[in-house]
Amino acid sequence: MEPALYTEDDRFRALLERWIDGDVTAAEERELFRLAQNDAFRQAALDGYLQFPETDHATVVRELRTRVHRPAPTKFQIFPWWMAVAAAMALLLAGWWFWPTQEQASAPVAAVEEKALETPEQIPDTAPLAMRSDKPAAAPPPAPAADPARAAKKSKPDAPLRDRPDTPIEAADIAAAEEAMSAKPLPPADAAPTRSAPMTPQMPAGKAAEPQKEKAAPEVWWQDLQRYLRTNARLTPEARNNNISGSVRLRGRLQPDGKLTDITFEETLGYGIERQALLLMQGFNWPIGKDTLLEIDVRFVR
Amino acid sequence: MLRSSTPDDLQSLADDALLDAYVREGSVRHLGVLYERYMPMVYGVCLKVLKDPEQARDSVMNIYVELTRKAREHRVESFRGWLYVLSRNHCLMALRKNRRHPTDAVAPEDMHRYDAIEDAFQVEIAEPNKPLEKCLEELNAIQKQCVRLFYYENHSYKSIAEQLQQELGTVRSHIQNGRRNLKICLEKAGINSSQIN
Repeated sequence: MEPALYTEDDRFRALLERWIDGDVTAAEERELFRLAQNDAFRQAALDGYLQFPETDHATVVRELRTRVHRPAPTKFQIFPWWMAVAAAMALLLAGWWFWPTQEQASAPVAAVEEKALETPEQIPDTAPLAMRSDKPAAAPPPAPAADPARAAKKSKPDAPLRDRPDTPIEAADIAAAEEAMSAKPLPPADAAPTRSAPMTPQMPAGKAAEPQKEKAAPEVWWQDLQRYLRTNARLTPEARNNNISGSVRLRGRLQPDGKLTDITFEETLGYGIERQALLLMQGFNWPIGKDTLLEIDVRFVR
Repeated sequence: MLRSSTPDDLQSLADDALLDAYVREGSVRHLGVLYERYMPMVYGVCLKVLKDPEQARDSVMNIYVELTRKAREHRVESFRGWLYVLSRNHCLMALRKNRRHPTDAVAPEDMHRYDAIEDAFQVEIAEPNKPLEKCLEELNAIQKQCVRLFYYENHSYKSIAEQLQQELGTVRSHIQNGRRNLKICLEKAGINSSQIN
């Protein structure tokens, strides 16, 4: 930079200081304006001051000077004590908030189911008709034997679940599930099953011809189904964000060709969990050659 | 004077020397002295762009914070010019962010001139002459008094404020408005204000 400019700049800054302080005379102001014309920085600076003739610039500049010479000019250099206190309070609050949720997650299914029954069903409008449980909650299930079986189940504590891999469900599965769900209309509530497979207490006994025999010896595929559900049932992000967990109960007809159709939900949780359950049903390798009404509980826990 | 009590040995150092000291040693004290040198100009630029003294004041400190970081990241050839661009861009960004007055956005190329400074340049009252006296009489009493004291009797703003028992800013405003009114009056009379001197 040219030394002459430094000289002019020094002079300009000195005159600007006098102008800010109010010490400038008419002759000095003329000089100030003349110097401002020669340089964009000076001109912009002076224009700024002239826009606010009434403002007490001297006080502002004095205050800014003091602040510039403070020892820590950078932001966030010091962690203020009040931020530490705020962080500690937030941690305490978070701990208090999540404590009952943990308890709820490990509570028996019966308690969760009661809560789910009180919660209105939240299924998106775009969901297939079969997903909507239009039946009243107190409607008699198609299989009368289900109620004592459920009561027996509720009295038992839940077995701990295995660790589940975090496997995402593919988009193709969603399409397949939607297609399957809209394939058949909802059967009448009192429709008699052609054959039931009461292999566990969760299975509806229905009007099966040989219920006692099958109860005594659960089939292997049913055990596989339970394992599959334990492994793959994952809460949706929406449910997770809203601290929702529990079970959904669905009914469906296992067709001889190995497809589960006519699925209806007896108990729901909302937040996209029913959709997840449908995808799980579509993803299971069902046995071929059976024609059975099934009642299935799917647990979704953290 | 507004000059702070920073040591004279640092005040006497050139821009380059102060910047070098900061880049090499990380001495914020050196950078503080350097920034303080141009800070009134930075504040003026921010006033011009933001049109809000409060925001301009905050921006001056934010620019300093930005400076402490960027001065070490960039190779700065001319600190003064670089600081001007940094300040102007910072304030333009702040203006865009706030958007309180969207129509007030000022493009950099439009910043070159502002009417206030032209008024000030073109109406410079060196000595009384006939049309000027006539226009001066048309000013309101307080403007006329301030203009006379400032231009004819060579008083400073502060001195006029003390005499008239007015705020310094008010006196400055009266003189600025009086000057603008004089210019308008002279133009109406068919006299180019630059002919006055």
